[in-house]
Amino acid sequence: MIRRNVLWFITVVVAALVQTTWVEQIAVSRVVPDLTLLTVVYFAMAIGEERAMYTGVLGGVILDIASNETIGHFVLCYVIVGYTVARISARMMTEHPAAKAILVFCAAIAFGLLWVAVAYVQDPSVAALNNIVARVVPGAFYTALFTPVLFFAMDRLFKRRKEWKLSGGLIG
Amino acid sequence: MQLSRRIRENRPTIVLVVLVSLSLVSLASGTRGNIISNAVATAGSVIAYPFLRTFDAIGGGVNYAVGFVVAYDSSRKEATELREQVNKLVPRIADHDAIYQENQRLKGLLGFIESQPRLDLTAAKTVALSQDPIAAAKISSSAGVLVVNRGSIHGIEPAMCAMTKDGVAGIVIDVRPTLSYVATLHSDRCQIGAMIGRDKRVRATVHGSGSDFSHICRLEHIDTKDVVRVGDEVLTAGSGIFPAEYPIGTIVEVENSGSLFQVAYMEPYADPYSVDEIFLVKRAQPTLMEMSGQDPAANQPVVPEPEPLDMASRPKRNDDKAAFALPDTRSIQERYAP
Repeated sequence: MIRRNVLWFITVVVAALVQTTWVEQIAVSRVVPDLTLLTVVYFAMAIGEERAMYTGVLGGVILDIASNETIGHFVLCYVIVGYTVARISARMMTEHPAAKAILVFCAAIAFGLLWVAVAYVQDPSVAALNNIVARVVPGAFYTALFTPVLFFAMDRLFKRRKEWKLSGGLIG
Repeated sequence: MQLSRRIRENRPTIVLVVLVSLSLVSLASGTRGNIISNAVATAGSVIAYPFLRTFDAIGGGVNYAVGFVVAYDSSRKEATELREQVNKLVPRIADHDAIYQENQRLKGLLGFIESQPRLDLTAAKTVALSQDPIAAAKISSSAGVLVVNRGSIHGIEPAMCAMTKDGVAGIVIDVRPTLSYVATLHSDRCQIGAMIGRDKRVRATVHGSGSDFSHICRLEHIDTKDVVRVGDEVLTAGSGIFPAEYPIGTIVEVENSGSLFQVAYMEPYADPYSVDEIFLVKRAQPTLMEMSGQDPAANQPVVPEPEPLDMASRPKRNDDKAAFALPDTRSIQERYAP
């Protein structure tokens, strides 16, 4: 159980650190995939909303610190998206990769809208619409493209087991 | 009981509410991420400081140990190069010193020549006896004889005076076309007429010591009534081409045995063996006093020297009826002769 939680912790931290460092190398027109969002969605679908929210808290704090945003900006968005995705995925009847990619796309759009909304509330001078058109939508597509690869790797890493999901992810 | 069950059933929702609330509070407070990053960095620095010091110490020790091996070769190479440079510089410094000393010596010789306007001097260099092997056997048996590279073709004649800048060194005793033999004050063949500087009436003859190991000369033919003291300076008496009143040495001992003449011993000023060049006096020009037969000791002006002309203090033309009285420099015979 502890080993599994340590593995989860390391995975989320590595994803967040890669998100803040190396992922710039594969940027297309300043649009980058959101690896932390992918881990949030994965744990939401694989384990449940509680684990997804904790993933959002950990990854969000790291991103808030690395990008010098107000603490809670990324956290709030990831937590809400993780909870919502977990509730939706609990009602999904298919395990098709395309369905997962569509869910990731939708989650990325929701995350982007939330993020821009919070940023706009904090600073109304932010070009919200421009951000949505130029960054959020393309970023959602780019993130959805990574879904099959990352979900396959996460399945192999965590040897996705039914009992883990049944335990709720925390207690095991 | 029911509350705990309801909490357990709605735990995700409660967690969501708590996390969202905390996020909103944090957003409302406006806490930026760099505060946490700075705190983490500070904590990391504090924790890592001892380790960094340890790593630095270890690295310094390793570099120091490696330096023993790595720096050894470079130090050895540098030492070799420096040694080669020193080997090149030492002869140059020695040459420089020799040139400097020769320069000083030549300056001294030139200064001596310029300081003796009465003397017609010829510089002569001492040479080895082997350059004249025929005379070498004869001369070498006589101690205290120098051979110099000036001879009859240079105008050198026997009985000429040989001197250094310290004083009289000897007398020319034999002349060849290109060589001359000088009997120094070490030679028993050297005899020079001398007088005592304190009282020039006291005359004597300087005899060489006759030994290369003793430089003390003997003064003979001093009248018993004459007073000679230790410390008196001995000068040349001058005769013929030999110049007068040039220093020879100092009296170091007086011996009065009660006979007709007393004997004194003199330490010469000049050391002929310590110089490479000596001067041969070809001609000594007498002073005007000597030519006129007057006593040099009485070389005092009979009439006062005329005062320098002062145009400011000169009387006006109308009052200038008497000319300046010029001193009469005629001798008494010229002045009163019929």
